Amino acid sequence: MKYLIVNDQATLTSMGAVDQTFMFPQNRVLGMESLTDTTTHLLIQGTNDVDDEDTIVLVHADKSAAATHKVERNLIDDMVSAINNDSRLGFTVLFDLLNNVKLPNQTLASSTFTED
Amino acid sequence: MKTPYIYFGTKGYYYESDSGADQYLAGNSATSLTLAVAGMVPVDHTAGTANTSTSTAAYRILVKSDGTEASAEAGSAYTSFFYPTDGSITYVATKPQAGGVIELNAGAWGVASSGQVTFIAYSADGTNGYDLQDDDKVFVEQIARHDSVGNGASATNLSSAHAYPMTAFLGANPVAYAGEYWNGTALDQTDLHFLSTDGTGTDDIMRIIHTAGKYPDLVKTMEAVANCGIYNRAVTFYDLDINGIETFAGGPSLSGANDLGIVGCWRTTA
Repeated sequence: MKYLIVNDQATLTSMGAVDQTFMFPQNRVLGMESLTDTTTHLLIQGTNDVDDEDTIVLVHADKSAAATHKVERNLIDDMVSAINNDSRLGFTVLFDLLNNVKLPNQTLASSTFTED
Repeated sequence: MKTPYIYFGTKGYYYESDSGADQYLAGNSATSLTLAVAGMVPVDHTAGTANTSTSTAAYRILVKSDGTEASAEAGSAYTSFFYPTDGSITYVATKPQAGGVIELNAGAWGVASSGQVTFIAYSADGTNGYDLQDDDKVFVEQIARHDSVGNGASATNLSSAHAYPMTAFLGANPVAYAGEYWNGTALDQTDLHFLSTDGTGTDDIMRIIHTAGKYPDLVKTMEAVANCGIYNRAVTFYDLDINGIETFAGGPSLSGANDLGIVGCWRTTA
């Protein structure tokens, strides 16, 4: 089993509260959906309530613009590749605002993690 | 545990055989198309041939006449058939011919109250109007991913897209569907069920409208996707982009062609 890590905080001192930093196993993914032009959600089984979801919001360029209309589709490929990654470390950082780590088609600013 | 992912774009499709010669879709009164039934909810539109860029560019409405009409019922703006184009049916100005498909222009219908489509009568607009007759066939087909179709989370967002791990796939359910494509191809409906993305006990349903008799191939296609061994990207089952370009998984061989004859693909909830 591999694990994914997300962090939407830019400073170490702000990482302790809920809805900020999180690690989850790759088999907890419920799905991905793109319901707006500039965000795509990665939904995972809830931490505090297994009958609910936790939501990871990945911001991206405007998919309604001709030049970037494939960005959401490509970002989903980025996510799938990361989730299925055979990392020897056992974990993969999906995005990390503190260390400026992100998926290729993601905009790091305003990407968030929210527990149910 | 690694698993393949399957990706669904959105294409709305709605068919009805008119009943009672009314000038409405989805019934004999002003009734809204719903996401579950049509895969799209056209945003409000005032009938007018110039009102296309913001409200009707993403879909087309076609009418196939049930019979050859002796009286004038189609506006003078219509001068040829959308289908067939081989000359097998002679176009007669203003008088629909049996089996001939006419593509209405944006002056032929209005949309109000989130998806209520009302057709303009010929008597009201002799140029763009069209009088629907009993048993005329009406088709609404999305032709591009566009914000004019309110099938995203809101009317101002592009069509939704969804991806699921194949471990969330619950099954494929054939559902009775009395419909056809504008070229006469009989259609079937299959609902693909997945564990809900919101974590609740209610499943997510991807509704697929496809050529009749393709259910066995569709099932085999899902099996092929589940066992494809592709882990570094999602496998596109169906997609429609802003330029109207479609992408298919294909049939059981994952050919990339429209082997299943897909004409509609949407999630029944936003």
